[in-house]
Amino acid sequence: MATREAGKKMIMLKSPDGMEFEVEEAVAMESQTIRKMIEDDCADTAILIPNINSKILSRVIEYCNKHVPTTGATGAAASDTVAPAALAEDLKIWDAEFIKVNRATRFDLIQAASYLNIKGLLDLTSQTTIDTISDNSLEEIRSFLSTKNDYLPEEEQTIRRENQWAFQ
Amino acid sequence: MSTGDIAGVEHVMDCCLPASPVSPAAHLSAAASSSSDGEDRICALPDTLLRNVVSRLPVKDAARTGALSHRWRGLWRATPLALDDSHLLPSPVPAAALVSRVLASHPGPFRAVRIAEIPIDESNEEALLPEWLRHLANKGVEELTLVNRPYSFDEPVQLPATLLRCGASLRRLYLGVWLFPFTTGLPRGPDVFPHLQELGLCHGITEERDLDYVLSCSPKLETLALISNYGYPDRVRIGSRSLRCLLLWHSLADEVAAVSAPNLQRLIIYCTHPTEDRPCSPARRARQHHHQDWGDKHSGSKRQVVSSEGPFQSAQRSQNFAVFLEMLSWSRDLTHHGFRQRHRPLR
Repeated sequence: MATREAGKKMIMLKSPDGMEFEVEEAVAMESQTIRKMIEDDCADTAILIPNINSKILSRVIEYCNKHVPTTGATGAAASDTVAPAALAEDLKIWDAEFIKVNRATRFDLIQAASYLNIKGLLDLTSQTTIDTISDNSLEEIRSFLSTKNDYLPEEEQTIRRENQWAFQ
Repeated sequence: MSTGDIAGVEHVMDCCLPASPVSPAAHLSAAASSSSDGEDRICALPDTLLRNVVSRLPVKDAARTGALSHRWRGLWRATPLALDDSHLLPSPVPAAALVSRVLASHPGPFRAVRIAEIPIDESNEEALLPEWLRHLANKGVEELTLVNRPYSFDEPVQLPATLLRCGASLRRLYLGVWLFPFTTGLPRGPDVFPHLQELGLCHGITEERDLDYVLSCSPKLETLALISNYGYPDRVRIGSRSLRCLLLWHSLADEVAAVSAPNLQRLIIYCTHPTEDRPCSPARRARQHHHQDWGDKHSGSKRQVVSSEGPFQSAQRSQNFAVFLEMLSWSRDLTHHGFRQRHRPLR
């Protein structure tokens, strides 16, 4: 296994389109899926990440790099000098910038976060998705989500009546 | 209570209550505005991921997705409910009636329910509390925040003992401005609150015997927060093998003692003196002391005692809150620490 700096183990991640990414083990282990592979000794040389193309994988690694606990990623003991609340606020701002992507990319990121089991990224992408749903009419949401209304008119009326409180 | 008192209590409550289980609306809306490109493939996601999305929606939006299509109806009903009553407002129908309808219409389980906007007094307690608590118990509520508004200390309404039926599923419970149910004569045992990990009793009346009852019936309780309680309970005597953090904030007690608490790591006693607006009697002040008895031999883990004396000066306030929140975050899930934004005025 490659080593870049003393004491820092490196892991090679491969996307299906042939790109290779060398990342610190601590960064890769932000993914619970990869963590399990490493802990089970299945990560000797390189890990192939199926279904996640290099463009999305590089974004995921960017996210993990930012979110890995500071002592591991940068070597600087930032947490000793910066208040946790300030760090959290910094991350929040960074996240908001990070997720300014088009819908197709967001969709791919949700799937990647789910497969790689990265809770923070899944939370971020899912939370952003609700913007499509909040405060819009049913017709607008159906249009955004490309959802076909498969209710009969009377069925839809019944559903609306049952949950009338939600439509007031 | 004076207006100033109520504002002070409201401030304390806003800081200590767990954050809303769902964000009220698009706090990442800046992100959405840049992504108006073409159709969304969200519907191609598997049900588990879509339930994750639905679970983040304010309850009205979540319920409305059930009318999109047959598939979405199944998703809404299969997503554990997260209800924050402030998200039902403003509404043409009284909020209490809406809460009843939401609790009745979802099949459960209830992931998190927060009811903190509805004034309950003798005129409506019979109509609301038993029904709510029945749904909450039957549908397995895991996190419950139940706060009576407006904040007053005159005649707190007593919660019915059916609250304890929710205990089977509860992991976190915060009660505000209530008289705790009578527990005398009720059966004790670890099956009353088998999963409860965090309990907050805020600005209410809990007798010593009732606190003792809860402690003896909560084998997994790790955090106990007593906030803004003026002498009820007057003695806080901790007998708990699981408790790791005990917090008294703005709370008066004649005695605080860890009589048997082998795993207690943090005892935080903070701003325990009354504000100048609400002086306690000289006799009580003289009797007040904090007695820390660590009980069993501890296992080598780090233990910390933090205490603050002196009246709570407004000049210190922001700094004190920041320090306090940092302390609290050591022992609580980071997902809900920090200032909760002041949401709506009292209704």
